[in-house]
Amino acid sequence: MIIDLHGHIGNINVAPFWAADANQLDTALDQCNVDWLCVSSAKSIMYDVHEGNADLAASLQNSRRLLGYVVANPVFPDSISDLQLLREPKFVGVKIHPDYHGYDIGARGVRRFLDEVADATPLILSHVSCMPGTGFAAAEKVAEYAGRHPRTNFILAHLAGIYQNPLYPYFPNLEGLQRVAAMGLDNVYVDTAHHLMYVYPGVMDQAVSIMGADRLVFGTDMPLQGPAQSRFAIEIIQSLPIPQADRDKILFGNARKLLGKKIPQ
Amino acid sequence: MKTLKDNFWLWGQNAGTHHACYPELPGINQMEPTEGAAYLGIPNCCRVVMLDKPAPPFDDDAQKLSGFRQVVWSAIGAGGVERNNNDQSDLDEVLRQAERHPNVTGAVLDDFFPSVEGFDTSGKRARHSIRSIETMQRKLHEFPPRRLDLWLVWYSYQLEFAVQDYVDLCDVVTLWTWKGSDLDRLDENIERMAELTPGKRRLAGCYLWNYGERTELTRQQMDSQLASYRRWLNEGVLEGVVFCSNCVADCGLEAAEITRQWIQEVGSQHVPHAAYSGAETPLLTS
Repeated sequence: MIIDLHGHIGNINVAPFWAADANQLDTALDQCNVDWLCVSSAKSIMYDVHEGNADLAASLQNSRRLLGYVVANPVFPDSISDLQLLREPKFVGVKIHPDYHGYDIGARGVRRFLDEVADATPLILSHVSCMPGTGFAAAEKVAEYAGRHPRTNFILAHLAGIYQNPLYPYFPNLEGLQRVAAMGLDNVYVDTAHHLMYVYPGVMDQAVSIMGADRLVFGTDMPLQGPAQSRFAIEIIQSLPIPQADRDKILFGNARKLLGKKIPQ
Repeated sequence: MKTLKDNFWLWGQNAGTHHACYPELPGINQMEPTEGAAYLGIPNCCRVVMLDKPAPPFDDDAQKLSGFRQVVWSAIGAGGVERNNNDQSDLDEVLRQAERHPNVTGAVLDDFFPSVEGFDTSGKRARHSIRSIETMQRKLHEFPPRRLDLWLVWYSYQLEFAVQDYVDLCDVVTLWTWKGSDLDRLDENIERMAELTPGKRRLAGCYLWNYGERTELTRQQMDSQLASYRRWLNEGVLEGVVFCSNCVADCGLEAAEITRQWIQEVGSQHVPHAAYSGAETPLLTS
């Protein structure tokens, strides 16, 4: 079994090659032998929170392998009402995206909103700043916030992001990963959704060595990454010099724990 | 000792550009050059402007390429980049990147001679005058930090064109078979290229899709051309192979998977012949 905890449905950045509806995602999952994909609505992240969440709810009804995150945006506080979707069986948690939504996760007003979100959901997938020049959601800042909500599990996306270094922005932020690991938070996981996990040799080895297999989960950002990239990412994890049981934790074991009964045992 | 893989190059172009020009291509292309190279297992990159992308300055893209052992930037871009016809070029920008990035080892002239695709060469023998290429060569060779090489794309159907004066100015010649059906004469064409390029570094260009006939390359065509390249590499006639491209590495082509597997199988084989004369550069810049 393989569970991808980080995907999207809809059209990202209006780019034709970053678009997928439920059927296209199902086809892509076939092509990379992934069993389950947890998605949030691209429309919710980029354009209209309510409309995107509603679209996702409709799409999930017709899909056997997609599960959903409700997107919540403190800039539009009304979006808190969408958390009622968490009562539906195929919604597994909440996605937050400080960089695209334009808020600092440490701001006081934002905290009040996010506290309400964290109290309402067992799982939050948080974007971590992984694009040059973005920094509202540094890995340690998200982890620090997670530490305030020990009963909610947090997935920090994009392998702790990239160095926000204007001269050399295209390197994995392993130092951020170290700072997150040093916090020793039981409710914090890190996903693999960044192409740097396979572009540079040894990145995943170091990630495992820093975080441990118990704290890493598989994610791809599909359809930002397609089936070929997903297969490649799986290969990289399958070739890690660690016991198969640890590879399985990254590919599905930890995710199954996080999703509980949402995934048939 | 060098391995075959040390001399493999990716023809790196912006994701989506091939699909934009060849809608017959299947699937979707999302892999950028760094991803495509990692996927195929290729350590070097020819970074080539296509559909005017990337446009100078190349800073952003050059940073992304810092993990490659060697990078050769296009000097004039692919045939459709008409802003660089008539002796205009991106060479000064390439040299600026070479100052910043020690893994930049040259510049390549893509789609340089009149093409079956009909790119505008205005009835000339080439997109640039011979004087322009002489100037380019001098700038590359006299680049203060280190000598840089001038590369050339030469299609097999152009081998008998009257362009020897241009070829003589280039340090590295890459031979490309535009039509899959012409792969039947691949060995003959490599021999001819070798005759026409004594003392030069030679690489084969390996397409992963049959652009000239707008269809997939068959398994037989792929197996056959890869076997030929391996033989010529072993004999020292070829120094390396350039694989085209990240733009078709992830769209579901069988040829891409055949190539990836072939690179895994033969890549670690030691180069038995002293053909390799490329620059020695570190894996990562510091």
